[in-house]
Amino acid sequence: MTTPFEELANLDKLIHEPARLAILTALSACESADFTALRRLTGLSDGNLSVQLAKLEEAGLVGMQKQFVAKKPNTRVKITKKGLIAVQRYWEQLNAIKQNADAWRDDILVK
Amino acid sequence: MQERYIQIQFITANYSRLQGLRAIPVGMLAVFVSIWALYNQGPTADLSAPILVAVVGALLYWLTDRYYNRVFGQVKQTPRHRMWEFVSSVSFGVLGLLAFVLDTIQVLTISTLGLVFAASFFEYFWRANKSEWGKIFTLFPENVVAAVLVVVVSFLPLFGISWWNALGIKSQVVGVFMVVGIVMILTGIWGHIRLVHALSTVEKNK
Repeated sequence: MTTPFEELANLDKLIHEPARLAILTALSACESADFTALRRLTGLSDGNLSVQLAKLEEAGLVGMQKQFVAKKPNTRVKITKKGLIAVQRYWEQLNAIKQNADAWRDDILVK
Repeated sequence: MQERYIQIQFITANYSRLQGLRAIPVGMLAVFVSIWALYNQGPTADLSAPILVAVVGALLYWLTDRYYNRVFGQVKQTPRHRMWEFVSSVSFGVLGLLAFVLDTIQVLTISTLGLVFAASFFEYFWRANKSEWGKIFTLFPENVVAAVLVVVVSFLPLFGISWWNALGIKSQVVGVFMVVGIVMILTGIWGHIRLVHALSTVEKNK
């Protein structure tokens, strides 16, 4: 039987990073969001958000569309099917780890 | 799911609904039309003032929309969410018109228009609160308070209380419309403060 620590190590590292997890969590609750909304929703700086979005796009978890709205550049971000499955699986894994950790802790305390 | 992420998910899913300032031009229009109706009745009433206020209201709504898009960005809701939003808006619009006719010809003692508004306030709350996030968040409490207030106001005539007369308002329909307008303005301000607070909490917890 694996310990919760070993299970934690098996989590998707790309999604496990708090900034990227926040982005994917936000995008999983809507069809798409623009850069400003994502910045407000995640509390990330412009630079950090750009870097994290680039990593997520490279991994195929999000798609980006750059356009001009009222003569101003606007980046619209959408989670891909792969990204949605990945973030859902991540939360399922994390919940399972939490349950296992609780059981493991109770087991240790009894012993 | 950790609380921070639940919060992010909740704000994203309700982004446009949390932008409470959008309700203010609509509420102001309702209040103005009620005040106008106090002094202008019958076929000779001059409609230029309410039309002008409706135009100003539309302009204010457009400015509010621009403000939110510029400062808070845009979130496009899921197709399911948008469909539900459309169906509920159309349904309450039709019900509101029917209730207005019913109240104008005074078929019932109670205010059906008030009850339709109360139902729309409550539907708003119920839709957001039925999900699991409701266990952690106290969602849209102002909508529940607003719904209860409008229900009370709507049922008072059943107990012989003509509250609108006490306020110097001639008809119940106008009184209810005014109350709804004031409630919309207050819930709108409250909603906006909550959005700003929720986003600052997300930023603090990052």
